[in-house]
Amino acid sequence: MPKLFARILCCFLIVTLYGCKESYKTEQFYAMGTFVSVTVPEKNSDIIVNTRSRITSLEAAVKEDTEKFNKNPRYKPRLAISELISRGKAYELITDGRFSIYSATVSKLYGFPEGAYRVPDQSEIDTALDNISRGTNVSLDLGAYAKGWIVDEAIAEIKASGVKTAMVNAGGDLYALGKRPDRDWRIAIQDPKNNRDYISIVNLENMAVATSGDYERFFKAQDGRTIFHIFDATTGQNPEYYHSVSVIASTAEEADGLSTAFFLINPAEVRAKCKKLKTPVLLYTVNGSIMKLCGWEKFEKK
Amino acid sequence: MRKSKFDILIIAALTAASVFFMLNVSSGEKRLYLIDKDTKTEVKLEDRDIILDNGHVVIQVTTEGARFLESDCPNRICIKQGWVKNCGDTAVCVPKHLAIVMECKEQDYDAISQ
Repeated sequence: MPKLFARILCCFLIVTLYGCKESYKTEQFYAMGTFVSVTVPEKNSDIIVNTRSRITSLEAAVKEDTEKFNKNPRYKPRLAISELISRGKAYELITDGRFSIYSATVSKLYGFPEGAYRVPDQSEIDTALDNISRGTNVSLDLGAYAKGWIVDEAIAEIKASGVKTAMVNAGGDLYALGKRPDRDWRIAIQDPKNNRDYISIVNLENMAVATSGDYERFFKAQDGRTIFHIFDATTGQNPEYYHSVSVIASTAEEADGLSTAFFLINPAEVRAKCKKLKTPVLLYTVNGSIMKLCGWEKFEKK
Repeated sequence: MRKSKFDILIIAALTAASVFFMLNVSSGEKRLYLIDKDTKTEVKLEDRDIILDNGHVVIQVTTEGARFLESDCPNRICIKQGWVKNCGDTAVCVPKHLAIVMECKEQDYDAISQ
């Protein structure tokens, strides 16, 4: 009998040691202008197909309502989208109007998002700024935080189906749901100057992180200047403080929106705002220094 | 509990086997993948070029990794991203909906925010 007991014990040992490694399934696909990856426990991998269709249908809704609004300013978007639009007001207030849901009015003069790229005349910029401040002849673009909202909605659906651990990552704007059995989700923040390296690793559980950078979408002007996709809606120019801004928040929408908003204001202003909002921030300034604000280091890997 | 030599042998063998499995799982076997729109295919690490989009995109593959060698996309960001060699490395050509990624069983982080 003891022999049998020992053998059973061994079997348990194998099963438990092996079982410690819960495996996850990640699926990647193209959506929202970037590569999206959805990670769930292997045993729940059948829900990924629903997550994916949720993401593509929300993306289509944002696109359709934005386009219709831009053709006809009297167009009434569906409720979820009009709520999304009105939440943009918060970022405009944080930045004293440097952030605008209408900043595409300026950025499209430069050719964003698709090209062909060019540097517009100052008179064109002035007209666009004037239109933004008066709210006439504007181009609506929710790109600064709609991606985050869609990530949150995808996570909500995953949660509703009973899955407790998952991650949805839309090109670096991500939400980490729950805890892996062995550890938290670990997220690396890319080094803007070396895409093989990272400047921080954070541990997240039921939190989101998003990064805005000047190094992903840009073009070189004829005068040698590098012009990237984020514009100050009061000057029509690129902000000049950072190479990248990362924000940890309780929703991906807030992390996404704030990473763009903070890009537009100086480090002292960021410090004041993130303290009030209780959102940890990582700044990589144009002179190459890294600033960790509002408790960022508390999330870093021990 | 009295153990026979046979039991000890079995305990040792099974413990060794389970440790082997654990180490094996976390040893970080590298796999290179090509993502073309929504299709993800493993690419064998051997010296060759993958030609896509009617010759507008060339991906160079070696035994170590891969990189975008040529692309006619506007910013050529995918080429600037260089070699995809280590766990978690990626190079993405957004306009063409193409990406190469090196995945490993176990890596230092689960995702990159960029």
